[in-house]
Amino acid sequence: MLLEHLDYDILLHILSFLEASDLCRLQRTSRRLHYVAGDPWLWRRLALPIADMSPVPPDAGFAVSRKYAATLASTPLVPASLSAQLLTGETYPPPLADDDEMITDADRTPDRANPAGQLEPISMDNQATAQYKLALWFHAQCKAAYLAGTPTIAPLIHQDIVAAMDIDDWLLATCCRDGAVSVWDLNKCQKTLWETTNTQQVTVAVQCCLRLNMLVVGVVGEIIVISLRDGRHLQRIEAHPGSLLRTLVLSARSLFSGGEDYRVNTLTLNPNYAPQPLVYGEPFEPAPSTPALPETENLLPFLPQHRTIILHENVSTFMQLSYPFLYAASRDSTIVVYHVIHQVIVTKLQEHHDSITNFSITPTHLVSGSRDKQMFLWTRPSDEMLDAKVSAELHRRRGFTAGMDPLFTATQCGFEVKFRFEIPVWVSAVLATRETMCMGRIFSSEVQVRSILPPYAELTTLQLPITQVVRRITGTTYSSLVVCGDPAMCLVLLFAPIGHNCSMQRFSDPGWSLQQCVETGIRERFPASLLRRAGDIRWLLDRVLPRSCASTLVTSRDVDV
Amino acid sequence: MSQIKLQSSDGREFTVDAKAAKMSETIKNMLEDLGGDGENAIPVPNVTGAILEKVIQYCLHHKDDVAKPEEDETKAKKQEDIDSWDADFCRVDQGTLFEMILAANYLDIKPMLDLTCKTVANMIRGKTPDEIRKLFNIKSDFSPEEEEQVKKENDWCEEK
Repeated sequence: MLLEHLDYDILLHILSFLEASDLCRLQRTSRRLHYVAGDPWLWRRLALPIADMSPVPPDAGFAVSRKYAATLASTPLVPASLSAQLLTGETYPPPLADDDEMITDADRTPDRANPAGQLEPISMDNQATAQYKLALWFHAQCKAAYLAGTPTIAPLIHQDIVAAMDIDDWLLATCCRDGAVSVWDLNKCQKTLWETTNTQQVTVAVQCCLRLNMLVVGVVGEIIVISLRDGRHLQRIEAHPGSLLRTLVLSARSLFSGGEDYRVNTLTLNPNYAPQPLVYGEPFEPAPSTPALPETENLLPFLPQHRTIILHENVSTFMQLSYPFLYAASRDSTIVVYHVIHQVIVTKLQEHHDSITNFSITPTHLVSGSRDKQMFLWTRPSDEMLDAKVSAELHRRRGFTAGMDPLFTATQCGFEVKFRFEIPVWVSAVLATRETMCMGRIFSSEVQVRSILPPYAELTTLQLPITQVVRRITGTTYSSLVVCGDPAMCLVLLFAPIGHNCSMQRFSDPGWSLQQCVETGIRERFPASLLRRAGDIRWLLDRVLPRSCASTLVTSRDVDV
Repeated sequence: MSQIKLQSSDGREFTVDAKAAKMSETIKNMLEDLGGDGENAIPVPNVTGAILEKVIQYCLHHKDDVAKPEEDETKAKKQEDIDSWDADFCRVDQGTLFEMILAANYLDIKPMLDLTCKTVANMIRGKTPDEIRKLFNIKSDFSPEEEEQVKKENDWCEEK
């Protein structure tokens, strides 16, 4: 009896214990094994943990749920032909009706190769398998580049403590305690616009969005909305009277702010506000000396009405949005998960016992850092699952009025501390990516990078030329880019960017966007015939490209479907 | 009923501890369906005596194991080490090993199926296509062009 003679299912079971590289080598041995080892089920199992599957039902592979599909379809990343497909609610990528259509003549085995005519033409991997292979390859490239990359350190200097940062694709916005707000071109590591909102005022919160052509800055008792293109003030909104704005988070429909008055404020985007998205290469026009506000109310980015909610018993220190959930951390040592549509507190994470300085979320994890000198790694439920759970619970409790009490305990929702890390001083900044968790602390110039997967091994330690506090770490989902802030300085660390070494040069070439780099890299390096079968690679870019590139995607998820 | 009898396809009879025999879902169901009286041997038509002996050996050794919780099929399986008894147990020629896989599959003994399949997977792991062919006596039925194409398509995962 030979290996090849085993039943298909049994062979699959054997092969399910193997890694991608072994399956690939096995595919080269014979037709039968080429066929079995190309089974999409095997490849899907390997690709599942690395793809951004948060909105995906458990057994649908890469199929996209309806809600997410509509959001995907509305983003500029997806070509129109695919958008239509996405909106029909069919699985994407669609199952191939006829395998042959994907195989061009070049792929087909010439007839003369089978003189006896006994052998079937070689059966090629189907589309799903090719896509999973592409995703795995891409992932391996990113990981290798990340681990091998030597950081390029380009100090971007402020005159005082850098308090907050935000990245959108190629743009980095920073704000400084002395009131200065800067916008930097990450491709060139240089300043593109200098904007001072008010030199008398402290700014500690900033958000930027290329798609909305908007930079939002929080100061004492006020939110200032600035045009990215020319630095004009678009709107000034009173909020958190008399107190400093600590944190801001911008979604496609609303803006949340947390202040030192222990309150969270919600503003809604004006539906009539139609900005021209800022594209790369477009020159910034210098700001007029006296910023003027637009005259008609219609053009204001945000509606004047605002809503105030109380989530904490103390100052909100940091917020992040994973639609429809707002994650808000506070000095009262809790992280509150708030449902922005139902307006209820879903749960409170209360494992820390001192002020939470910073946290970061990925589709599957949450990393939190606190003054209690600990960093926690939590597992996080997918937004869709939690959303369904909340809707069901609210349906059960009809007539329920929302208060400060959470609907569920953290464990009921699926939040669970997987790893605790203790250090002798405050944890001041954290960042979670698909692969890693990074931690910065006070009185230290180091950023520790650990694996986010068991056994949470330490991968590397970044030595930064700073003196006191790593105040914020921000970056992209693949951590190809890490930015750290500290007094008087903001550092940009560029790792070998996005998946392939050759893109370094292109990355710094203004003509290239990150996406083009990736696309070109894939086209140059991944086998062409396999790529043809994988079909459009946009789906990959949408899912596994860094958050910075996909940030319009992330924010535009804030759309009711 | 602490002992039951099993009869292999070539007519050999084995008397086995019932708990061990019930590791096989197939036999367990048969016992429930037939209400076996311990007198008549249960036929195991697809398994020869030599293989059935191995199966019984496995079941006797593992009958008191605590059942592992069912793992999610979609998750990547862990490649935990095979303990030394199990490794010795699988130290047989390829033909026997495949027969054992078929028997474990037919008798529905999941831990044994996992063990034997893992053993085969370990034999494949880390080998080049030529080494795999040699080890399992596989004849390449690719044409030279196809050979070139499958090489090109599966080269991406090799470390360079």
